[in-house]
This record gives sequence, C-alpha cells and structure tokens, in this order.
Amino acid sequence: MVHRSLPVALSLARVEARKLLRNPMVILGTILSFVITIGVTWRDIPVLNRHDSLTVDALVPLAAAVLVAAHLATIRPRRYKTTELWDSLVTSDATMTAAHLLSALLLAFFALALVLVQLSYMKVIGGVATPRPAIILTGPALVAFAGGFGVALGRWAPRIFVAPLGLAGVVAVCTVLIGNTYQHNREWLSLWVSSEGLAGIPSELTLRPDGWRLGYFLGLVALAASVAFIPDASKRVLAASLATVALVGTFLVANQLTKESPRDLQRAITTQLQQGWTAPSCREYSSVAYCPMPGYEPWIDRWRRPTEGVLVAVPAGARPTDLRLLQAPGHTQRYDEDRNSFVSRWLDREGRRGALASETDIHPSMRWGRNSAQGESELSIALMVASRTIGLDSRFRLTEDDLQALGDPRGGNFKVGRRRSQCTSIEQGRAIVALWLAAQATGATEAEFASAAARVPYQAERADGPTYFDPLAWNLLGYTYGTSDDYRVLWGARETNYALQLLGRDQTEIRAVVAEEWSLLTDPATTTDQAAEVLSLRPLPSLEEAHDNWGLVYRGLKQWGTAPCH
Amino acid sequence: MNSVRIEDAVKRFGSTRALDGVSLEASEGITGLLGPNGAGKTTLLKVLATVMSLDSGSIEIFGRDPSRHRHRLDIRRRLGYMPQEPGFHRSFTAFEFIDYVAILKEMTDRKARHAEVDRVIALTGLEKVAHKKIKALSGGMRRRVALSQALLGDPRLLILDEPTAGLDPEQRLRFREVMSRLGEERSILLSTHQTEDVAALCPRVIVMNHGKMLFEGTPKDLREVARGSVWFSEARAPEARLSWRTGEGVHRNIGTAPPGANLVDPSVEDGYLLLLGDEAFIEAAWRRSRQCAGRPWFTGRYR
Repeated sequence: MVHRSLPVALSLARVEARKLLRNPMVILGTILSFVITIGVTWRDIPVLNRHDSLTVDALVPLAAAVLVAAHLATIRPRRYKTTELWDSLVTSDATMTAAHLLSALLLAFFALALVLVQLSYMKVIGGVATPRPAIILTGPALVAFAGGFGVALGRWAPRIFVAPLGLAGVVAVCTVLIGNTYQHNREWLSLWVSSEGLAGIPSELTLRPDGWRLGYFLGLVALAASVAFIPDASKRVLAASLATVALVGTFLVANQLTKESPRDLQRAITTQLQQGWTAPSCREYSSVAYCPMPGYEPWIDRWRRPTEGVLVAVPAGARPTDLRLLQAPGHTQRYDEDRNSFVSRWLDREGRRGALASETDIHPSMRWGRNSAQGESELSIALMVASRTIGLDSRFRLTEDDLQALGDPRGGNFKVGRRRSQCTSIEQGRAIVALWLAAQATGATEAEFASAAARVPYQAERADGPTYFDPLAWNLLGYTYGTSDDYRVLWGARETNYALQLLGRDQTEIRAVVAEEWSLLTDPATTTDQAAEVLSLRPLPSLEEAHDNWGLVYRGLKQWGTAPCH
Repeated sequence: MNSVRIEDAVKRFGSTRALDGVSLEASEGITGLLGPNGAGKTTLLKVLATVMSLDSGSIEIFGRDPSRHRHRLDIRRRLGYMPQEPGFHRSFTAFEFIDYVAILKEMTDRKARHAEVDRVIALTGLEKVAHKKIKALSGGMRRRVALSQALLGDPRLLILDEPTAGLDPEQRLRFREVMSRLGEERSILLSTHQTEDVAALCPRVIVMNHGKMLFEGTPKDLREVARGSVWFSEARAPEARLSWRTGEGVHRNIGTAPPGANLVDPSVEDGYLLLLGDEAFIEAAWRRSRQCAGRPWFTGRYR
C-alpha cells in the first residue's frame, strides 16, 4: 500500500502546509520572528557568528504557533465531526498522520527560508563574520519538532485544550532547564537558551555544542514523529520500536550536550588566540594600525571615522605615531558571572589577557552600535583615542601620592604598586580637551555627547542622605565600559560642561587655541580652572563652591574612591 | 452480480438491536430506505459504507468481505458515502473540502483531481459558491457539498443517508435529476423521510422499523399496501387511524374503511404510514394486500 499512500501523504501534506501557513497564529509567529530580529539588532551591528543564535530564538514564537496549529489540524476531523466520512475512505489514519508530519517538515523549510532572510537582513545592515551552519539549521529543526509534537499530541489526546497545555508544559520545562544553566549546562537541553548571555558573549570565547544540539533537536523530531504513529493499530509495533530508538538516541545526544570539556574549550580559545588575537591581520591608515579579529574587517571603516576625526584636530606634531586599535573580546556584565567565567580565568592564568592588554593599544570590543547607538560606539572609540592622545591612561600602578589623595586607604586593592585599570580625570584640565576632541570627531559623536551632557546637568542629586553623586561620570564611563573592558576613565560633569561650551563655538578658532596651548592644556598638572581660563570658557562653579551651594562638604577624590589618572 | 448482499445482519448497541436479522440484496439502480428515526436505516448504511462492522450475519459488497482489510480497501475505492451528519471543515471553501476528500480518495494527480472536483461541483450546482467558506454556506448548500464529495471518482456504489434533508424544492428536483441519471449504471442506496423522493426516484423501496425490514418492493407495491384503506369523508372518520383535512376541505382518512366509504387511490406515503401502524393493524393490512396483490412484498421476519 506504500506505493499509494506516499503520493496521498505528499498531496495532503501540501494542502496542510498551505493551511498552516495561512493560520493566523503562524502568521503572527512569523511576524514576531522578524520583530524580534529587527528589535534585537536595532542598536547593534549584527555579528553573524553570534547573532546567528538569534535566528533560533526568533523562531520560538513561530514554533509555538506551529505546535498549536499542527495539533488543531490533526484533530480537525474530530473537531468538525468528519471522522465518520473519513472512516469510509481508503486513506488510513497512518497516512494522514504522515501527511501532518510532512506538513510540519514543510513548515521547517519555510522556517529555514525565514532564517536565511533574517541572516540576509543582518548582512544588509552591516553584519560581519560568518554564521554557523549548525545553528542555521537548529531553528528550522525546532519548528519541525514543534509541528511533530503538535501532531503527536493530536493523535494521543485529540482535545482542543491539549495543545495550549502542552505548550505551557514545554515552557515550564525549558524555564527549569535554563534556570540550572550554571551547574549542569542543562540550558542546552532547553528548546531555547538565554540569548542575553549568548549573544553578549563573543562566540570566539564560547564553546557552544552546536552540532550536538542540532542532533538533539533532530532526535526530538524523530521521537515526536514515531510517537505520533503509535496510536495507529496497524503500525503500533514498528512505531513503538522507532520511538524507543529515537528516545535512546536523543538521550545519548542530550548526554553529550551537558558535558562541557574545559580541554576542548581551551583548545578552541587557543586556536582563536593563535589565529586572530596574537597574530592579528592589521591595516594601516594615516599612521594608525587597525587590527580586527578575523571576520570583523568591515569594521575598520567604522573605527576610522571617529579615530581620524579626533586626530585631525590634534596638532600634527602631537599626534601619536604608534596608535594601534587591536580588537579584543569585550567585557559584558554577565561575562564573569556565567558558565563562561572559566574562560576569563583561563585567559588570566595563561597570561593571555595581559598580553592582549598592552599599554599602548586601544581595544575596540566586538560590539558596534547602529541607529541611535551608533553615536555611542563612535564616541567610545573617540574617547579612547582622545584619552590616549592626551596621555590620560587608566592603566597604571598606584603610587604613594595616589593613596594620599584618596585619603590614605590601606589594604585590599589599595596598595602601592597595585595595578589599576580605572582612574578619574576630575579637576584635570586636559580632560576638557580630551572630551572636546572626542565630541567634535564626527557628527554622531557631537550629537551623542551633547545628548549625554544634557541628560545629566552639573548638579547634585540627593539620595538617602546629602551626598553628591556625579552621574555624568558614570554615564560616560558606560560608553567605554560597553565597548572595551580595559580602558576606564571617569569623566567629571564640570569638565564635560566646559567641553560642551567649546562645541558651541567656532571650531577653527578652538583648534588654533588648542594647537597653540597644547603643552599646557595636556599637562597633567594643569587644573580644570586653568584650562578653562586659557580656552576663555565661561566659568562654572568649582566643585567646592557647588558643594557649598548644595549644603554639602566636598571631600575631594575621597568622594569617588578612585585614583587620579596619571 | 449483486453489488450488495447482506444476510441475517445483526448489530447491537447495548441492549438495543439496531439491525435485527436484516437480509437484502441490491444491484444497479436506486434503492430507497424508508423508516422512522431509530429504524436502523443509518446503521445499515454505515455497515454498507464499511464504517461499522456487524455483530453477526454476513455481508458482501462487490463480492468482497469488508471485515478483511484488503477487501475493505477495495470496497472503499468503489464507494461514495454521504453520512447523515457529514461534518465539514468550516474554514475550508467548498472546493477545498471536496478537493481534500478527493486526495483521501487517492486522487493524487493535481490537475486531474481538480477537474474531477469541478465536475462534481457542476453536477450538484455549486459553481457559484465553490470558493466560499463552508461556514458561510446555508444548510442546503452544505448538503450539496456533502453530496459532491460522495460523487467523486464516479463510485459504483453510492450510499446516501438522508441526502435531501434541508434541500429546498428546487434543489430536490435537481437532486432527483442527478440521481436518476446516476442510478442507471450504478447502485445507489439512499435513506430518506421523504416518501415523494422515493416515489419519484426509486424503483425499489425498503421500509424499516426497529432494526427490521418491514417491506421490500416497488413504490407501486407500497401504494398497494394501502389499497382500500384510504378514503375521503366530510368529517373526521372515527374508524381512521390517521385523518387530516386536505386543501380541498375534505378529510383524508387512513385505516379500516367503513362500508360504502369514498375510497381513493393510495399514495406511497399512505402505504408507508400504514406499515408503521400498530402490529394488529399491519397484520390486517398484510393479509388484505396478499389477497389483492398476489405477490409477497413483506420480507424478513415480522413479529
């Protein structure tokens, strides 16, 4: 009978697939998948070997819709009381089950088309790097499983409320699995993983078991499909045998998924280090070397714009000759907290991080903003280039003077000679110049800087007690923090507002004054007041005066607990 | 060769015998099944449509035994069935639904299948609503959709359970036209409450009640059952089992006619109504008809 059943199943599958595609839930799921992709990449240039995992997450709503729609299609004869008519026809239940499963498979091909469209979209908006084939196929496999699961539910429990219940069950199980991520890597057993963590972590530092996970999904597809056939009496033994095989296979693959081998991870990272980080492929423009990691070459032009915008405003003789932008893995809030923390520890242990964080290089991260976030990214690079040009360096070792300035704290991290990677430029005149250089670099940096300064005017904020908090410092810190983890200069609101004044004046004139007074303005000993006078800026109240006005006592650097930049 | 042969068929639902020793044979032509609700008509048609099996007795359709899987498939390939309550996929259009059934009938060549769907749609006059959603169709239109799917593939045996229910007069006339044409070269078994349909369409009629066959014969034979038992009177006759006032203002009575009654020619409905009367009344009618018709028209066992 197979010779007749197969064409029937294929013809039915085509009809059912068309019906599924026209199902309002499926249409909504499709729209949502695009909304998710567009939404997540709205402020980020996609990195395809990282954002490819987004294609899986984006298909989750579609998969949920396919689960419910496939279930409803399977129980349609019961819902509309056509079982009696169907029973009088030559086509068997098994053939109809096969047709429903095939329709789910056709939906998986539709999902694959969606994935390719989404990846194309990401490429069009500037995406870099290459997506991973196994991940490209994981989303469609998820949809196929959802369809198969819906069909199996329909065959076993032909009640209309079963699909929503089944969906809720799947969500509950996946939520539990994701919750256990740090202990047992069980998140890989979930149908979706936390994209927050994975999208934020450079894939070069992540050992993601893509192949095993795809195999796990395919195992689930086979399991659901064979279980769907079991209720059919004529195929029960065969279907049960296949289901057993699929179950065992899926279990074995799932077991691999939860095994994380540090050795494998270290090998992968070492390969990355050897191929990309320690032997970067650099290109030089205007005496600046740009060294992206493999796949990120298109970003050179994005880094060049703010870099050259800063350098063109610097007197020719003062421009650095050894400036190198060497891309390095970025820092994310979650990076040191999640399961990949041992990557960080391993890098430290191997001394790789030290080797990477050279004293002279600027390290753009593996993120670049787009749309409203483009200005943030450009300002971040501009701030780092301007700081390095001026001589502001957040990486130094604590001196006795630093400890005195900080109120002589002792112990812990506050020891002479202790390496620091964060400093404050408050009350340093060169900060005004650095901020102005960064702000004037491009149109986007100027707009972003003005916007940031306007959001946080030079004023006190009261929390629980009469304390002074300088939010602008933290605000600007965020730019570099999100872009590079090894360059942290805290900026003061007063210096920022002086730089804002400079932006409002004739830039040619400012450039001339800056060029003429370069030595004085970039001297670490020059105070903010002195620089403001040289630059003919409208005086702002000093921090002491401002604190007096607010009824507070200014405690100098002790207030921030951060050493001054050297 | 007979298309259908059933012998001593019994089907029980709990303590109810839906079929109680039914035997019949049918070949080409239209056979009408008459009977009140619960008579066993639908059960008999379901058994013939291979949807239901018998508890005892034997059945052959096209010389095949439907209890055997392969035989059942062979039968189904030559069968068109319209259930009493067919059910529809309401979100489908009429065309889509019939096309879906066509696939289930193993019509996998898309072009040929669509041509066949168009043919049955034209046959049942559904062209104008073919691409409307079924949920938007009237009850009568839906019956025609159900009939269309039964006609797919030009089946040799058509089993139609109350196909004219819900049809308006014009639709019923069209239905009769289609059926009379189809019945020339295939077997059609249809159940109905409409005695006019039987009279107009069926060369052969079967009356059932309580799972038994009360009558098998021609519509003329059924009319003869009531010969001498139908009369007109000015007022309701006390002897009549049934009596109603006609459009002409006289009463039409059915029962044991009094001497000198104004007897009239009976209709199929009169015969049917008489058959479904109480046991004694029917026995009397049977004896009377034996005397005047000279041929046996009761089949089965009547108690």
